[in-house]
Amino acid sequence: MIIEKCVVSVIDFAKKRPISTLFLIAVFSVLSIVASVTSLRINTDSSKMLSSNLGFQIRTQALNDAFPNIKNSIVVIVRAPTPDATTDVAQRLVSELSKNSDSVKSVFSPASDPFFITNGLLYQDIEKLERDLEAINNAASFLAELRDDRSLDALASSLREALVLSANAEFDRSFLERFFVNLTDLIESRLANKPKTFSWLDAMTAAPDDADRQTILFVTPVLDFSAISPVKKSRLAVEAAIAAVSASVTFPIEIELTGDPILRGDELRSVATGIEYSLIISLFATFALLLIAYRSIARAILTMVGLILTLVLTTGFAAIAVGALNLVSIAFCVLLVGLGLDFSIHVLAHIEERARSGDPAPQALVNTARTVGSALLLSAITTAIAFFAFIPTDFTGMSQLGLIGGVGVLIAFFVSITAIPALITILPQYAKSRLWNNRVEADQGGIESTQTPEDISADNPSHKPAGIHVAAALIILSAACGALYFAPEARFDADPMALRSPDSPSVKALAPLYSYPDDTPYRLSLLTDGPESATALSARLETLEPVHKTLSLNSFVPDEQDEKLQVLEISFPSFQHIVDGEGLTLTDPDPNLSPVDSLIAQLEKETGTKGSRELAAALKKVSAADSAALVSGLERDIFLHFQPLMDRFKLQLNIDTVALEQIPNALKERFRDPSGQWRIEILPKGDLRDQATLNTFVDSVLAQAPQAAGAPLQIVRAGQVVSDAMVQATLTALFAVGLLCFLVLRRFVMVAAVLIPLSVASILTLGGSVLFGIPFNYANIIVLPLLIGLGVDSGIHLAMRRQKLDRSRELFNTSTPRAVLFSALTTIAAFASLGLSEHRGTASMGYLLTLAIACTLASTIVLTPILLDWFHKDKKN
Amino acid sequence: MTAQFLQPGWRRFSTGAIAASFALILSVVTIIGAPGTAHGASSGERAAMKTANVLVKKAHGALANKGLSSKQRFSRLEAAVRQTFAFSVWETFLLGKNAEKFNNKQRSTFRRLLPKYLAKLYMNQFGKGLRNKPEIGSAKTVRKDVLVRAKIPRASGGSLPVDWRLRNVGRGYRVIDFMVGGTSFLVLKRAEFNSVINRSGPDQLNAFLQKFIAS
Repeated sequence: MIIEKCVVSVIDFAKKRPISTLFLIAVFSVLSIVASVTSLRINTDSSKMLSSNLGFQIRTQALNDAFPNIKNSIVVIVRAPTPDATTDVAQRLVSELSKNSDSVKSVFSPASDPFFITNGLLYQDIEKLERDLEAINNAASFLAELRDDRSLDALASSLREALVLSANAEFDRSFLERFFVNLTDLIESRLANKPKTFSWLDAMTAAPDDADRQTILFVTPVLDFSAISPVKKSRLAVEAAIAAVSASVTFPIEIELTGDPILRGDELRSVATGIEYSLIISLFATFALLLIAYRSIARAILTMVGLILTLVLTTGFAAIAVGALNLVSIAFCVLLVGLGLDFSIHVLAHIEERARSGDPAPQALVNTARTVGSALLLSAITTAIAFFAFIPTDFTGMSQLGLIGGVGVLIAFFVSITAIPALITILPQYAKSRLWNNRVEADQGGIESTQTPEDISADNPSHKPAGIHVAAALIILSAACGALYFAPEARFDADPMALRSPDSPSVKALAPLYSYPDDTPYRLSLLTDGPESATALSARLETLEPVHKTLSLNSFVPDEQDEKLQVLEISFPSFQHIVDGEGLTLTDPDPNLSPVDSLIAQLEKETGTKGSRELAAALKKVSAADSAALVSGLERDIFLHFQPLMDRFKLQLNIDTVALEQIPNALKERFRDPSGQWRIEILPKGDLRDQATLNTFVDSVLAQAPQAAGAPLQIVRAGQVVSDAMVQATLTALFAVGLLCFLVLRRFVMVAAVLIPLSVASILTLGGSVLFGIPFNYANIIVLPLLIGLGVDSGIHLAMRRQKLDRSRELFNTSTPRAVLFSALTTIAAFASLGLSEHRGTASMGYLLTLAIACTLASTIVLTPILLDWFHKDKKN
Repeated sequence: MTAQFLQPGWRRFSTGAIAASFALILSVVTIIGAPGTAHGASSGERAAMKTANVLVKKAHGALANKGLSSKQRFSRLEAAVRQTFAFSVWETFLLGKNAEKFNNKQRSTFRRLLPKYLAKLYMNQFGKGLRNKPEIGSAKTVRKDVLVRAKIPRASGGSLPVDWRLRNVGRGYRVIDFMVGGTSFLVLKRAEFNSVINRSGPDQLNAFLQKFIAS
């Protein structure tokens, strides 16, 4: 047979010229290492894992080209105890970042932008605006009084006057009540040595909103494409600014970094960290299994050497062929730990088998080539085909893995028939280890047998499978029937966030944003010709039930401006009074009482609202303490953010009609590109992490605006593309593998015996993924080619070995089932450790691959021999 | 002198011409540089102060006149308010969008009650505990209105800062708001009126006004 001859000649060459063989492999390995170190990169952008020719990918690319700053923005989320503190921190950050023009191109901070401070009131809805203006109106004299005297006494006097005024003018005192409550809390906190800062913005707002305690800054980085991470320099600059601001404030703050470049950086770090630990654990576990399999450290080391050579050579190929790995193709190294070992295990196991049969090492090598060479080559080619089947799909990530994995498998095969025989030739004592097959020896009365299993089989014809074997087959088939029920629910989760570690700082930073409809990270975008079409499309999209709202440049031109300005016009004198008016003196306080004691007396004279009672009680404690330090601390807590409030009122005196041209450039650049295209941002109603909500949102928007693009669309469409790619590749692989098996094995039943267990394993894996809640994703999707590869691989080994035997029971006396078992176990050992990774994608890869390989192993090792027996029986009948 | 200054033979130095030039420059500088001061007030500010003076003289005169019955005092105060207030502006601001909820009859009732209501409100605010008439201080143009600032001496000493906001409504400057310590009564009452209208409708607002006037 030509295949057999090819393998025999290669092994023969390695046997005759071991040093030359090893030298050649070493040269290629060194070249591979050089290529890997100099040119291999990793791209964690999950959007690049699908073909750039797909419609939604083209639209997304067009969007990114038109608005590069959006995708590349570093998002800084600032959270502080009060809106005042939040704005203060934002202002400080902007100021710090402005010093780093070589790392930071621009910063857009809506909370501290003078334009939005001046005109912010126009962006409120009219009802809230009226309520806020009423509060400002009622507080005007009180604030004017404090403008020039920021002491506790002045505060007490002005509060007393405000109380009298509110009674005289019969105005709504809810502002004062709110003030009393906040002030009491502040005093009590200071007395408890847990000082807080007073929120003037909260006090001046009729309905304080928690969202005001959080603000977002968009930092446009200066990208340095000569560095491994182009955003690294900017990130460091932002982190330095955060550190400086954190050190400069006296109140607790939380500043987090997120945004696409940061998320990708963190992801890369968590993948790398996870992979390091997993690789160490998997190498140990694999080595331990090899020790159990061989009972020989030297042979285990030989196998590991074969694996390392495979990894090195394949990495070199990847560096030359693809240059940049993606989140899927990076898994080739783990994958090859599973598949790359198989060939070496089979070769070494059979060499041992032959050596035990009495062959000297050189002869054992040749006989191994003759007995399992065809099976090895065929399984290598079929496994490679299973990988290559992904190359023509639109799933670029998997297509890349298909190329690298396929070539990697062929490299592993090549190493197993060159490096391993060459090493065995140099070290013939390692051709066999202590006890390989106790059962064979026990059957032979403990005497080393000189018969091969094929010889034993010929003497004992029988086709009856063992009872336990049939029972195991029934269990597997029953499980497969059960799995069939769940299998249709198997899904692909294309959300890149589902891969990332939930503990990663950038992911944690993003999580709370889903609770704020206006800040939700997932949104669609639509490019339009200009303002008219943007307005028309926005109006149409906003009528859709799943749409929360749309944003375009027009959204930043406040609506109902005439009405709002009229309301502001009414309140305008209050602003003026706060800025330059005088305080009130309506009462004549008792000259014997301090201002604080006078306020206490006034509060106690009041009708007894809860707020006034509690404030009086808190003030009494302050008065009783008679501590200058306490008063000074309180004054610091109360007035820390007072000046920014005054500055805000001064700016608000300039409030006027806002036209499109007045909108800050930093904002305009996010919604209008230099060519005049307008971008509409479409915000969803609900949390798009929910699959049903996501599908409804995307479908509804696309029905009205088929040109929409963005992350939600990519997630939905990627699921479809990946599913299609999987079906296409699986069918191609099954057809090509089936055809090749048929050409080589020459019998349809043999092909069926290889592919039926594989189908059962696939059903079990799909059902298991649903049952155990492990959806397919970009990271664990490699389970499919691996399942086909390993399933076909094992099936071919068993089938081809069975061809040379009369009955399946003898198959279990050969090295092949053990080699199949241990190659699967070493693969499980390699992958299971990935489950410990902090990167969710990598961890899910560990779980799902363990499940898939366990199913493949059980299915192949149990069903293939039974099927082969039945087919042999039919043949004999 | 001015005529001489404008004649071709202007080179002949004249003390009168120099004085006229200085006066002109000084007045321009004063108007541009210090528009808010009474001393250099613009015509609008002067007109607004004139209206404020009328209000002080008549309204506060009536309030301070102990020889009048309360009915007479209110009647005189109402007349002063009618003369100096711009009710159309008050109506627009006080009702806002809620004006659309009024039918003709309700609107007519509201317009009849509004002057009396404002007079009563004014009396309630400024009629108690005041020893003297307000002392008008300065006038300042703020956007399209003029704020006239005054202090009302209090019986117990000290003074109450009061601002009148006046707008030129065609027939001169009229009061469109009054403020105590920066707190606008227009804003206060707008909130109150809107609350009543939103809760119970225009008829209830008219009933509320009537009750207030009668109190």
